[in-house]
Amino acid sequence: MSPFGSLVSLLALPAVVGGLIYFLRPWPRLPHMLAAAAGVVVAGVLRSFPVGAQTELIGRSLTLTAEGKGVLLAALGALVLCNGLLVLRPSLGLFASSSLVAFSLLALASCIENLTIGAMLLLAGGGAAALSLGEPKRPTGGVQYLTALTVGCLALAYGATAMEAAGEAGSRPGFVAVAAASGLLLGLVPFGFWELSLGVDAYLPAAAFISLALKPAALLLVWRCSQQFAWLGETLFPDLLLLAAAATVAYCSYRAAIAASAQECAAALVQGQFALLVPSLLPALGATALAPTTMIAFTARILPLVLLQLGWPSLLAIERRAGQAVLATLACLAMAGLPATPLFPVYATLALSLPRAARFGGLVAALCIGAGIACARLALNPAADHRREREQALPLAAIAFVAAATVAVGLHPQLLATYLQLR
Amino acid sequence: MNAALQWLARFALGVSQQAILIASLVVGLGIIVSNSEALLVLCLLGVYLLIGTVLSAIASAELALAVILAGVFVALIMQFTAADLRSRRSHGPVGRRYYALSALLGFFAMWAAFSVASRSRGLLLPQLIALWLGLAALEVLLTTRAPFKATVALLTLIGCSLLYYAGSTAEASLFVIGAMALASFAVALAASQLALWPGARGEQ
Repeated sequence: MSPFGSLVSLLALPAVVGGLIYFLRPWPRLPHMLAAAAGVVVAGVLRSFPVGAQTELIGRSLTLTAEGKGVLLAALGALVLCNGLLVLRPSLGLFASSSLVAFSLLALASCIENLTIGAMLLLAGGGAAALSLGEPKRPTGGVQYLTALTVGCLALAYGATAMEAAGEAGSRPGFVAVAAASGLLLGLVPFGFWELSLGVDAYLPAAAFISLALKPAALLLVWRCSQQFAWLGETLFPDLLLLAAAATVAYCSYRAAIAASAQECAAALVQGQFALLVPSLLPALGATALAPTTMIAFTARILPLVLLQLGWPSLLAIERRAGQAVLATLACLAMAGLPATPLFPVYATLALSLPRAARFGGLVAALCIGAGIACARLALNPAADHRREREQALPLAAIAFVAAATVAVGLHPQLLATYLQLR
Repeated sequence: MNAALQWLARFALGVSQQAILIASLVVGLGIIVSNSEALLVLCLLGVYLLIGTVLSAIASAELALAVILAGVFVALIMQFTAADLRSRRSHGPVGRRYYALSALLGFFAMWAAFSVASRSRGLLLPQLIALWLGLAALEVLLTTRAPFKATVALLTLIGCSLLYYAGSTAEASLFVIGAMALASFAVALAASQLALWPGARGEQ
């Protein structure tokens, strides 16, 4: 046990704080400030917990693995950054409370050893995150997201149960269920069409938080499934995942290039970015622990993604000026892994360490081409839906701050390793 | 509490398998065909009562009571959402094509469930009910665009997976039921917010 208390108390603390700050909504900035502060405190205490710390929750074992800790720290980073930025332009929705509650549930899902219960907690966490989707004109994206999340989590729970019952012999229905669940939860083609609707329809910080907290947690569960049932790595599962990831990147690159609005373009690029995580994970499926590089790959996406998803549509929605155009281009290129951005060292390391790096390089290049065309198109033709994007626009100073932080972390990649306690 | 548990156990023993099967058919068809929020909430409550009755027979009365209580709370959330929806807009006429398509797909779902049941002789009643209600829920998810009806289908799907899990594995603990109830609450709350958005559409 840590000197700061048990793991369960720490993971449940954000949910308690989230419940309490719900009542502070008459003061719009206060919930975001408190949520960001709670995130900083929990991240600080979580870093003091040793990897392998164990505890029990109603008779079930909870273990803080190295990979789980990386995912939780990434989610906390996203929570702090999103809520911190929203202090400047507070939302009327439930983002502050629901992001904290969702974090607690996703954290329990990442730490609990039973995969079936983990999938159910992931579903609950995703549902809680959906409470912060906001009030756009149409709820299509939200309904599609909830459907994909529910069916995906239930399929994962069923797959884990079926494979556990089958043992070493393997289970074909279990394999199909886990493959379908991976596609649905990670937003991979042909199951991932919901994600673009969510990116267009949802409140931007909520979409960013779902990308940065829910997807890594889902990816961790899929990876744990492949660890627990090693035969899964010897089936078509890795090839299917790679094929789906490649198709997703190509589709997202195309959608970004033809996007009518900046928000749609940002959603396509974000979806493509997370599909790029899959090939980096494949060598670890069913074999070894997640490489430290993969943990940095989770975390390195936080700043570019928040910059892109919050900043870029806002920048293009306001008046076009030279400084805004520079920041917008930086946001786009940061997602593509420009030198001096956090994703550049990740891509460089993956290019050197992945068994078939050319394929990975090809996927990155495909996304870069789509992003480049989108950048040029949107710079020449301003966003179509000005009013909607102006409503969500953040102050320029806030976006400049995130951009500066992106470059700073890109120039000093050891900061991420220090945050994750890898060195 | 003990009296409620004893009553539930006696009730589960007293109800025949045929009655449970017929009730599940009625509830599943109700979810597929109905477009009225009140009827959908009633069907959702029926799903939870069915699951509780079956669980009482195959697992324990405590778990069954937990499921029924969770179901009552989820149905209450959906009932409040339905009341709010009714006060906001009036129902337009629903096309006959929608009813015809729903009924046709519902028939196919029933045919598929009972074909699987007749082919695999080891399929037990809980699994058959879970399969039928799960197919009905999937059929609704494929055909509807209304957030409220989609939510009822999603909650039915979660309930079916709970029944399947309890019926096919030896492990049916209060923790699993609790995790599924938590997931149902979260989905119901999120979806009721989605359904109450000003732009939420129906099948019309």
